[in-house]
Amino acid sequence: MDNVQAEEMIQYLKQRVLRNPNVAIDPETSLVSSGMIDSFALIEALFELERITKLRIPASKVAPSDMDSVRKMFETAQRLGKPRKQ
Amino acid sequence: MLTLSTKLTAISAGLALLWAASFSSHSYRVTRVIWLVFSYCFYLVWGRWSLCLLILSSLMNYAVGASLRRNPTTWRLGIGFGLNLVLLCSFKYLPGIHGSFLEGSALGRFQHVLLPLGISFWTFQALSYLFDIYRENEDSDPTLMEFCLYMAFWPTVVSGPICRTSNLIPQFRKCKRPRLSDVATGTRRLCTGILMLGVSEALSLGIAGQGIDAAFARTDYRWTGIDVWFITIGYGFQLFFNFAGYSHLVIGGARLFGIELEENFNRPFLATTPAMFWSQWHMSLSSWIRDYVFIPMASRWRSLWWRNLALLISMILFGIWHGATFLFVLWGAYHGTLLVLHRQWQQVRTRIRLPRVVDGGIALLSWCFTFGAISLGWVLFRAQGWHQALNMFKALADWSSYSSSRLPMACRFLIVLTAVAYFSIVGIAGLLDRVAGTSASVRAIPAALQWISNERWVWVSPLAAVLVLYGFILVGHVGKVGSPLLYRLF
Repeated sequence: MDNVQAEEMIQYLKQRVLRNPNVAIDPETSLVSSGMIDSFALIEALFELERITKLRIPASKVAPSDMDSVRKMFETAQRLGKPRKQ
Repeated sequence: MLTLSTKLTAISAGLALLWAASFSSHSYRVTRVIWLVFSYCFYLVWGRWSLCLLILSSLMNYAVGASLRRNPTTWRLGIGFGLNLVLLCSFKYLPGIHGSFLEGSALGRFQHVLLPLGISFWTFQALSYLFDIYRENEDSDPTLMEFCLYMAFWPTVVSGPICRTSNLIPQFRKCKRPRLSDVATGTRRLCTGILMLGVSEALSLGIAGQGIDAAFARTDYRWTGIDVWFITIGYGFQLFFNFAGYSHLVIGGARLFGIELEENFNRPFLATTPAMFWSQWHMSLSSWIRDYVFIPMASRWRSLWWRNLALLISMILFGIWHGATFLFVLWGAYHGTLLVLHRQWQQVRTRIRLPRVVDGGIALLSWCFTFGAISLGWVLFRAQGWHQALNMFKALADWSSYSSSRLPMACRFLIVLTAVAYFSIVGIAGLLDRVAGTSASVRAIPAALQWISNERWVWVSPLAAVLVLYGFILVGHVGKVGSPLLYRLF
């Protein structure tokens, strides 16, 4: 996982999803299982993950547990992501 | 034909034997074979041909799963999904269709078929297994015997909770004997479940036969607005105590054998938003719908309107899961609309910063709105037909009808008593949870209070037994049966 990409995702979650820059999130923080982000926010995070990694991630293959932390999000992107068609 | 009491005696004796056998066995494989045989015998009590269907579904899904594991393609998943859908539609939805167009056709034969017990629950378990393999997320790789046990596991086969292989299979494999804490927790959950089912029964039958069932049985009666509120709130509690009580029994029963199942309810009537309610009510089904319907559908397109539409469709499917009736579709659509509206409000709310006092007031208002809206929804869920539902909504909208009440005083008293008892007990339980979570060295908490919090099984069990007995004497219906298990119908 690229630290810059991880930080970009954390900032996105804080500012756009949770709308609270003071909330403490690190790459291991549980997001879905702790109830911090709901299913709507999970989908927004998935789209953002696609933008940051420049990969196409088949959503039908993604389980909520795959998006439970920032680290897991990038692992999922690496496992399932395919290069975007130009 | 076996009577209910004979069936229950046979099941109780079988469970005692099963528990003894589980304790004496040293091999997990032998134990699981014993469990599977017992699960099939348990299911056999409710119908011979239903068991054939369950075994057929288990074999079919295991075969599709094996094929998917070799090559997780969409069309293989589609075949598995289609086969399960055919099974569910044939035995659950076709018999519910009333109409002459099926008469005389081959499909018409299904109209006379009895609903196989728990078909919606174990079919959804099978589907989650297939979806997880397709997502390459199914790591447990069960053997055929383990998969058959997963599908037929005796505590969950009748009415859930809907389990996932990721939780059950690893537990099946552990050669774990129940610890004292498992037995203690299991006993407490069983007693709580019996107490809750007793409360549900009391609400269903009421005092002198004036309960919720009697109120809904009078389909053409003109209730007043206030009556409808009482009936619908009362029914919400009846359904909650029935299904959550049953879930306590199932979770407690499995815990006695050292198996920890997923929770199905988490104090849903304390929810301050509709979204929160759906994360606390029938949790195993709502998380299933979220994981396998809403997320794949909503992420197809990026637009917000599509996400809202996906939410609405998911909730309609949630309604249809209960039965293919117009009222269940409406109930699902109603909750979908509530969730979409809540989402819009949330968007506005996050942009406004309010003082803490106002925030607290909004939370209280939000709870009132949520509780009221959820209660209104029960009209669609429980009404005998659209005509009765319409009459009830008309009464609610007629302000002049609020000045009087035709519902018997005893029924209103029982509903208020239940509501007060529920919120008091939930408050006390929350307090005890907090005490139990604090360190033993905290001096401010007396040792006795910590013991009460930690060893709840010691006093909850006898208390539950006394309360059930007292409740039955108060209601005066010992020996009569109201609504034994409402979710058995789904």
